[in-house]
Amino acid sequence: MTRALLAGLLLYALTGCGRAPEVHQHAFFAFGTLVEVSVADSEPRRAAEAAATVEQVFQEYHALWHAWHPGPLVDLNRALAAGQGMAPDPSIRLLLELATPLAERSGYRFDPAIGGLVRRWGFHADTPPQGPPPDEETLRAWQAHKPSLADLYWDEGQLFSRNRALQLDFGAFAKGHALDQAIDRLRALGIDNAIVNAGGDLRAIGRRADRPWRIGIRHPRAPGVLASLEIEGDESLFTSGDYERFFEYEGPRYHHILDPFTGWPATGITSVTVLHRDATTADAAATALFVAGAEHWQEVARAMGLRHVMLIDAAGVAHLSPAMAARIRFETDPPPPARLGEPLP
Amino acid sequence: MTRADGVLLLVLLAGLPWLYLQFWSSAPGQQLAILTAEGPPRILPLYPDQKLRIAGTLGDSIIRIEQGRARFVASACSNKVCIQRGWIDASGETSACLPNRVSIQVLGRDARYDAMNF
Repeated sequence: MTRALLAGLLLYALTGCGRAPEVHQHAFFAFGTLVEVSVADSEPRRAAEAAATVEQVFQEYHALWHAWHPGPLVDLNRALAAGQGMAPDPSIRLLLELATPLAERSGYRFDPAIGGLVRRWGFHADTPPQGPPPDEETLRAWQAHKPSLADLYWDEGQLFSRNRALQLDFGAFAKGHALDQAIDRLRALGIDNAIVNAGGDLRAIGRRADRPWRIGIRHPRAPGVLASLEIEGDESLFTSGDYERFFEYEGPRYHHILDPFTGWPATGITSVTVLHRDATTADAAATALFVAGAEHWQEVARAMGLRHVMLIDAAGVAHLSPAMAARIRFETDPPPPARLGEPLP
Repeated sequence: MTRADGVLLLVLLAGLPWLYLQFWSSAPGQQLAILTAEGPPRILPLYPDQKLRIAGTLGDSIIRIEQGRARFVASACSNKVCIQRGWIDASGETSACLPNRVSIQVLGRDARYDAMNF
């Protein structure tokens, strides 16, 4: 009978160890993407409240910062194109204050002033464009004016542009800032262990009760996971890839990460992953490094104060900063060929 | 060992495959969440095989569930990124038709990852 009891206890122990602590998950659509909120170590009701707060933040900014749906940003762009000044919505003013030094440090590889270029490529639409790509002459005409954030100036609370071709588009930036705001709001609600994942770009705080948060980084060219890493504390993980928004026209693929200096989708890189404390910087940096490419990524990473960077180039080679190499674990067999960069300060 | 002990032991041994399936085979996800712009997510098992018609904002998306995997096979979008994504079967993996506001995600009890970055 003792043995039977032991077997029974063993059975009990076995079933018990399979249970993972609960993580409450909520999801909604905003910014043209799926936003998922995972909350650990919390009552279901509080987790649901937290998710609702995050949704409110995203929906509010979605309306304020939309580059082609009628709203404050479209109004501002209309005024700038007409050569007029305008006092923008305070949230847009804050976005500009955050974006300006990042654009400068990136050498204007990240530049929210290229809305006119994004529109010419057809990415100002709720569904991806069908092509054809804009003709050379259209791109040359835009290039002749080459607007940048440096063309903007303030005068008595009003924003002006020296360049009428300047059109603001925070597509490579707004998601990061919204994530930072969402995390601030979660903290104010007393939520210390959570992930907010906006279409694959995320900020994670705290941990999952029993262990750090585990994040998988999707393979840019194959189904499944390329690499993984753990986050414990507070970090943002952003990836920009040529597979996210694109169209194909008569063969070639045209993706949405445009090089402000050529007017064309940036070439040579399939994805860039940046791990950084705040999502605002990580978002801008992922775009800037994608444009910088395998040749210039290290100087841009240094200028933007990044330590954890991974680029996957068109040949499938992983370019890693040493700090990133120490954090990441490749999940493919064999792992991709890797090239280690110089240490970033 | 009494006869009752023997019976109990047999019953426990017979239960092992169930335990294994329940608690160790969780790397491939067991459930699928379907999210649309309207209403709460719908959660259903990744078996048996079936084809689902989900109403999105543009029209219908057709999702196929087969042998523990799921994918979009048709959707009322123009670019068909969701269909190109192919099968998903690992916990945490997602496939989305953003234009049609329909997305699917594999859920698993012991997900390998808490979130996917892409």
